[in-house]
Amino acid sequence: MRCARRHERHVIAADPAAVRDLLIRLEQGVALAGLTPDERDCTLLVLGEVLNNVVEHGYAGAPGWIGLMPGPRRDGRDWRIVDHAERQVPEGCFRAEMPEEAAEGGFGWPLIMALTEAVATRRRAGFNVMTLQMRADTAGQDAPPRQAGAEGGLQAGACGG
Amino acid sequence: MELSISRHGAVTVVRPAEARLDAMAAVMFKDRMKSTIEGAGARVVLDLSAVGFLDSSGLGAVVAVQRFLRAGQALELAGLTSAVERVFRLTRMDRMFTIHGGLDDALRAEA
Repeated sequence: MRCARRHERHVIAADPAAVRDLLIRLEQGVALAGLTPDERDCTLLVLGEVLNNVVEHGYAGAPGWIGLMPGPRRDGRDWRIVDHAERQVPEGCFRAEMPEEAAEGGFGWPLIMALTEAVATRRRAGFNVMTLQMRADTAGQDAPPRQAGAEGGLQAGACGG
Repeated sequence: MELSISRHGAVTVVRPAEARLDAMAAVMFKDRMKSTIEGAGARVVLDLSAVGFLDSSGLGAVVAVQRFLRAGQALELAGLTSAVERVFRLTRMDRMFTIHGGLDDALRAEA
């Protein structure tokens, strides 16, 4: 299995263009090379949702940066995202359900929850740190969203995306 | 977000030229679709065969396009790639649209 480089890390500006560029680089890079095409697509989708959520709701238009690096497993399914936004992920996001009707928003977090086996956030020294592990099987993607682990400091509030 | 538009009888086929329908492209996609639909016939087929990445913003934009339809107009989808089909299926938005396997299937289908 090809693994992410030990010191691979990315720091991007908090804007949608930078997120897109990073996803394209990841798609072509070594970090996801050990995954099946379905696993790679799901990982890129989840990372895109998380990063754009930080842009849109964390920094909410203010300038900022986002760091992305492989987690300890370094197998392409384990990621850590760090930002310095004042706003954290609202706790309600982890319980967000897929909209029942044709909706123009509200899909982002339910998609994240459907495609990951673990998501956790914490606030440390003014930084937001999110860790996530992708589901190992892509066959079970229709499973209903489940509640994520939260290590404290989460805010109640509306969930974007 | 450039859209390629062609007419096949009563069917207007719209094909995004870019491979990504994401948070960066969603607003422009909606704007372009709005003006396209104004001049379209009864059936509008969105051919997504060139789109390999669609996120929740892109999905929301496709759903939003339905608001622009006139009475008697329908938006149908065709050519979903596996990554795009997965997003529609997981969000259950595949139930909100008529989805054709490919553009040929869409053109052969009855309104």
